[in-house]
This record gives sequence, structure tokens and C-alpha cells, in this order.
Amino acid sequence: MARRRGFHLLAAVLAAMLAVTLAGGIGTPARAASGEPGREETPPPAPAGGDSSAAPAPTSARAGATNPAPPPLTPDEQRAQERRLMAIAAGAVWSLFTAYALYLFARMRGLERRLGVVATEADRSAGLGAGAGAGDPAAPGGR
Amino acid sequence: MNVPDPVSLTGARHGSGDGVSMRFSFGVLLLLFSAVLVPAGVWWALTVAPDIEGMTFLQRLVYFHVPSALLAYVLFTIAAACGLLYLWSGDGAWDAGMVAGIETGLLALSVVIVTGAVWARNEWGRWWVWDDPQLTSTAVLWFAYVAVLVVRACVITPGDAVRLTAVLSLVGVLFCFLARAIYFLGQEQVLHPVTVPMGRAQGSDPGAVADLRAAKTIGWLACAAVYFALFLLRRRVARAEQTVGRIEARLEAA
Repeated sequence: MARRRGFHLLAAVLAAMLAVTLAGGIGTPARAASGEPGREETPPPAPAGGDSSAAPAPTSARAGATNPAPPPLTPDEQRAQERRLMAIAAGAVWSLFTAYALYLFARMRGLERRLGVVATEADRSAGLGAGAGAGDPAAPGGR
Repeated sequence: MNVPDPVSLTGARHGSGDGVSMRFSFGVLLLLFSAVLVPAGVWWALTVAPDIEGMTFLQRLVYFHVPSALLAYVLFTIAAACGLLYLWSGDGAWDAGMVAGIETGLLALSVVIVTGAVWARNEWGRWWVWDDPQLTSTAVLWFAYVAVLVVRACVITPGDAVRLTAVLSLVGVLFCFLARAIYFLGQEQVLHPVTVPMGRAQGSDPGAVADLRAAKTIGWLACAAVYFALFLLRRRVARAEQTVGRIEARLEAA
């Protein structure tokens, strides 16, 4: 039972983390610092011998749609993006460790509850044994 | 009625017969040690460690990303070894080590994925890239071990669940080695960075390189302390659960 509850807790925290990550992703502009694989907009090749300023708008490499290329980040924007992402990383890692600590704690609480039941059962069994054997010297626990 | 001493987890009930008291254990000491090391590591990585030419501020996540990745593989290997020993001996102590290794390894791998995704968002403009074999194999590994835990929780018969987990952990560790092989053999094909160029730390200033090495060392120590402390604590909890289960079974039989 405690195990199932722990899994439910873990699943809830993971779902929350996913939601936060997705929200962060929607809120963060999709512009890369170095732009390696994230470069969705591929600049078209300049026409041979022609004026490069007359080139058509950049085309998306995957969808084939025509989109304007995002402007590069200014140093201030870049710094702000890095701070925001570092905060997301710190929050997510903190959430992970907190979730695991909560999970361990839930298991310990479940174990203590089981121990309480076990102790009660053991006391009851011991009491029954003593009571049954009280009048019979031959019985185990009898006087 | 002979009932063994119950376990003690938080000091509520004290027992010495089963050797499963959580108090003053090595795991707790290691956790206290990591409570000092982790803030120190974060502070050092964010403030003291030098910038690396051509890399952004978020490269500092690497001081926790790389140790977490390698320690996750170590923990999965420990889990597989415990699984093998359980299949060999049938001793429940190995089962406790196995489940602790899988869970803490999964935690470490989650940290790897989170820190890597954040770094990728800044560098590549995306949280995740499916074209990269390193990233994809890590994701598959994560899902595989989550599946192992789910299967373990769903199988009703305890003995079957443990045996199944042992077999799956052995299969899982083979996939770990495959993922590492992909990383080392396919370095030219992967987008994932291979090494942090320490020589580019602030123009190869010896002091900066020393600070960078110190950041790596503290990051490694902090991660190792945290994961192994959690491993030991989880193992202790699993052992305590086994003991309580045995007592319950004995009471039911009586």
C-alpha cells in the first residue's frame, strides 16, 4: 500500500515537473546561443554571382514553411535567458531530490504504521497465550 | 510468542536485534557530509569556476551533469550485481541493494536528463534532440528502468517480483554498457559534447585551470556523497521492510 502511495506521489511530482518544464519551454524564446541543432531556419544559399540581399526569406529546413529568421540574442537577453534556464535547472533538480526524499519518508511512515499493527498483534498474541496458560501448568506460558 | 525486536527508523521504536536502526548509520553520516559538499559545489561552480572560451554560463551545469551520468551507470551496475547475487543465493539483502541501486540510479539519470535538457535549450534552442544517439539511448535507459520498477510494483507474488527485477536489472545494465559504447565509439556522429576543453579556461591561465579542476573534484565528491547516501538509506529502508514482512508472516502463521 505504502509502495503504491509512493509511486503515486512520485508520478504526481514528475507530472508537475513536466508541466513546469513545458511552461518554461513555451515562455522561453526558441533562440540558440550557438545555434547548432536548434537552427530551424536555414539561410538560403546566395544566388551565384547575384546580390545576396536579394535572396528570398529563410525557409524552415523541416517543414518547408517560410519564416523570418529570429534575430540573434543581445548580450543582455542572453544573460537573462541563461539566468532563467539556470533557475529552471536548479528548481527541477531540487524537485527531484525533494520528491525522492518524500518518497523515502512515505515509505518510512508506512513502515512505522505496519510496525504499530505488528506490535499490537504481538501484544494481543502474548496476552492470549498468557491468559490461556494461566490455569494450566502444562501449557506453554502457564504458571 | 517469540517476536524479534522491531526495526527503528526514526527513533519511535528502538531495536537492536535486526541491525536495521537508521540512527548513526553510515548513510546518515554521508548525507550530512553531502549537505555540506553540495552547497559548496554549487557555490564553487557558479562563482569561482572560470568561464570557458566559446561556452556559455550554463556550461557550469557540467560539474553535476557528468558525475551524475557516470554514477548512474555505477549504481545500475551495482543493482545488476546485487540482482545476480540474489539469483545465486536467494538472500533478501541483495534484493534490498538491487532496488536501492535502481532507484538511486534512476534519480541520478533524471538529474542528467534535466541538466542536459536545460543546457541544450540554451545552446541549441531545443530541450531535446532525437537525432542524437547519446540522448536517445539515455532516454530509453530511463524509461527501461522506470518500467522495471513498475513491473516490480505490479507483480503480486513477492518472490516473482524480486526474481523478475533481478533479471531485468541484468538486461538493463547491458543496455547501460551499450549506451556508453555509443558515446565512445560514435563521438564524431553525436551532437552531444564529448569533453569540456579545460585548456580554454580563461586563456589557459594556470590559476583558472586549477579552479576548474577544483570545481570538477567538488562536483564529483558532492554527487558521489549524495547518491551513495541515498543508496544506503534506501537499502536500509528496504531491509527494514523485509524484516517487518517476516514478522507479519510469522504472526499470521502463529
